[in-house]
Amino acid sequence: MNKIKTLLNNPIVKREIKQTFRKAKIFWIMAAYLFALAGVSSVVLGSVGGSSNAYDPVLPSVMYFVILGMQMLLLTLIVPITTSTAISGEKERQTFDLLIITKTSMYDIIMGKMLSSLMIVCIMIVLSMPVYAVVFYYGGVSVLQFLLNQIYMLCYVAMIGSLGIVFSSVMKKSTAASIATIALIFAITIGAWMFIGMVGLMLSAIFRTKTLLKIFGSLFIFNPIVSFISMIDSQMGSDISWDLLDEIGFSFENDFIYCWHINMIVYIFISHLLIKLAAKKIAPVRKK
Amino acid sequence: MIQIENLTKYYGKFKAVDGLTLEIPDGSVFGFVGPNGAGKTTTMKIMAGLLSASGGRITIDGVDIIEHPEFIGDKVGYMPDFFGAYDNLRADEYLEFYAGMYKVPADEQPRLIDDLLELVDLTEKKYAYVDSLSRGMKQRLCLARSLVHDPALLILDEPASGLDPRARFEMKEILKQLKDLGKTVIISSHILPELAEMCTHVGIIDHGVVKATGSINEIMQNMQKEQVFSIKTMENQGFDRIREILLELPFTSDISVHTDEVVFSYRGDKEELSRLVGNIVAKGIPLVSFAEKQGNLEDVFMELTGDEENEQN
Repeated sequence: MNKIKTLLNNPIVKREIKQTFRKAKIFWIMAAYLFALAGVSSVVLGSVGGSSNAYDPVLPSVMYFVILGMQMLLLTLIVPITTSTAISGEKERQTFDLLIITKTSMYDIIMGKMLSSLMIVCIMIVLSMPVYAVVFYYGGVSVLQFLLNQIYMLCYVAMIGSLGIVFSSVMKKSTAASIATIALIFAITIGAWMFIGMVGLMLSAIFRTKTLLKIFGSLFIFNPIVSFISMIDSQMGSDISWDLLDEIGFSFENDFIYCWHINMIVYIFISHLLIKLAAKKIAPVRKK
Repeated sequence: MIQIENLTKYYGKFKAVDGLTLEIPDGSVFGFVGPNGAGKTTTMKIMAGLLSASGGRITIDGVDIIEHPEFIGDKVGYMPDFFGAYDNLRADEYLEFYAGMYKVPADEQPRLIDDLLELVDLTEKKYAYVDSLSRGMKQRLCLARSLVHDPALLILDEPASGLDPRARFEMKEILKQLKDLGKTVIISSHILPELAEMCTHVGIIDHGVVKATGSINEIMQNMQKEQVFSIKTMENQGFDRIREILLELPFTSDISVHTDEVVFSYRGDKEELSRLVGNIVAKGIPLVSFAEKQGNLEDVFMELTGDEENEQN
């Protein structure tokens, strides 16, 4: 309880929220985010519905998954850009030294930066609810599913946000940190497909063994795109990632735990490690 | 008492601080003087916990802060030479933020903020945005920030840098108040006459080594091997006759005649000095002033930091 109180009373969180919402920029970002979300939903609504006036039961699910996918894409672009300037921005503004000589621990400084980004994401999630409300109107998606999906989003955002913070901690310039973060996220999402698939296939062909294919293939389930598809698929009663693993000889299929459940824990764990790493990197005095 | 013993700092192969040893008495205003690149800022940053030392000790209140950097946050307040400010933040919010970062209890913060703003004469700017303040006001606000946790030691790196004369005067007045409050203050500055005025003790550093340290009087006396006197007469009369008298004496040297005074170095005793004055008056020279010329910190600085530059040239 005390730890939660300390986190919420973090002076960096209070200061960042005050400063962020005193600028017009955040409102333009949120407006653009909502415009993109609502715009895509309208296009889907128009094209899936077609010219028929009859109710199409596929419509709400398709709309929901498109909005969810769009939300994930937009957050994948917005969050790393915000967090990758967290520490390097302080260095550029020459406020960094005054921050690290205070009695607040490096971990609390990094967590403060992380939490203020997550709070902005939470506000964006709340803002997107009217767009989701259109889906609820048509039915087919429960509130519980929606809440679980948003919790998954937060876990995913925590991971990519903490990647941005690590780069921000080791690089002097915000531009370099932003580029490095986006490049790495591209690599672990889209890039991972190609790399793991190619290496796995090559090695299993060279050594004529399926074991290597199994090992490389199983790494797929941690890919954010596979995880997202798993989340959507599980709401239909199956999980494509378990099917993929089944193909290569691992059988995990069950009705309770899905790939995306495991990934929520993995993302939080990775995020925790990255935050600890960033805190170590910004610590000013190290014994020689 | 703050003791710096054999402090060393390397940047790669370059030795920025070379076995620096200093003692800074409690409650003193210590001026840290040296040319650019002497090692002042490096030493200050090590004391503030921003840089690690390659060797040596720094003891504050008996605690070696190099071995135990966790004590620095309690004991040291630091104001760097260059610092930024947060935009879209008011002066009171700025201090509130740092009070929170220094773990000042929330219920004590409003009173503390008001007291600090009063100390630095920024009460009327309490609700002004920090980026709207003038340079001098930002410096004063940053000074208030460094006091938020009531440290015993303040380290101020060029606090008057870039300030106009009025702003420098205001900063000096604040530093006098801090001295009266019993704080130990370490200041680095290039404005030597002002340092000489404010400081009780001075340390002159060059190429990472202490060249001289102590109270200003001690340093002056050590540097001045001979006494220097100045003679002034009514309407600048009789300077040539004074020069002739001085040339005849064995214990005077470096005699120079200026527009409004005659200056000379003296190695003799008080009796001989008394006879000299009588001699000048007896010759009918209208003596107005016969006084010892005090050296100044600038002269000491130039002498102590000039030798190695000349050697290099």
